[in-house]
Amino acid sequence: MSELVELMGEVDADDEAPMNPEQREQLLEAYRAASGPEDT
Amino acid sequence: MNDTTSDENLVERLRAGDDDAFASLIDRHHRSMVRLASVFVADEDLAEEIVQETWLAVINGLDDFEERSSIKTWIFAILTNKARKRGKRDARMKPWSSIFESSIDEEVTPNADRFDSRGQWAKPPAAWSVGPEERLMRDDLLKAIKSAIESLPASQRAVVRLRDVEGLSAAETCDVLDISDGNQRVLLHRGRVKVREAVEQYMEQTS
Repeated sequence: MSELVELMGEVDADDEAPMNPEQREQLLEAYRAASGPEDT
Repeated sequence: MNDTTSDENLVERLRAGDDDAFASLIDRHHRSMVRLASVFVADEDLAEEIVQETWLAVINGLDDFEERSSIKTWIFAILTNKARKRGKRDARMKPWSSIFESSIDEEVTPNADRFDSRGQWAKPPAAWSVGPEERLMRDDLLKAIKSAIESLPASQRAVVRLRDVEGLSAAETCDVLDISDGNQRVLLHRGRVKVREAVEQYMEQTS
């Protein structure tokens, strides 16, 4: 079974379609906004 | 790479507002998250929507992340929580109860006599790999395995994905899916048996 389990760990190796660039940028913006200095 | 070891530094950078660290987190986990969300919904757009909500929750929850689990487990747990909540109010979602709560009694474990009481193979099937010729078939074999995983019932697919594809431990899988260890073991066992059978069938057809 370990051989099968090992192979199962590789099934997504070639499936690295990136996140939609627009969506990615929106998330990065949200991250920057959340990480920025807090208003005083 | 060891997720936990690399996590320590990553979390520190994320909390320090490091853009590259967050971009790397997205690149590392986004596809896995979409695939996990797809277990709970039939619609890819809805899966993406749940993942997007999860990312926003991750951003807002970073300071509260207590690092008692790997960041991947934490993110997956947020995702399944989102999926569970959406299931209560969105007709496009499979109700959570239909996925897990009745999953154990639905079927008899296939080929139970091939396993011992610990769930290990009583009589291991013939090995299928290693020679150079077989390696040429590796990509097709991986596709067959992936297709077998995708064909599993949602509850088994979720457990097999988390345990065998994502490499989570049994305890982490139980936490993420909010299921008992017994339930997790049965679902994993049944899922693995079906995948194994599909792979054996594939091997017979191609030999």
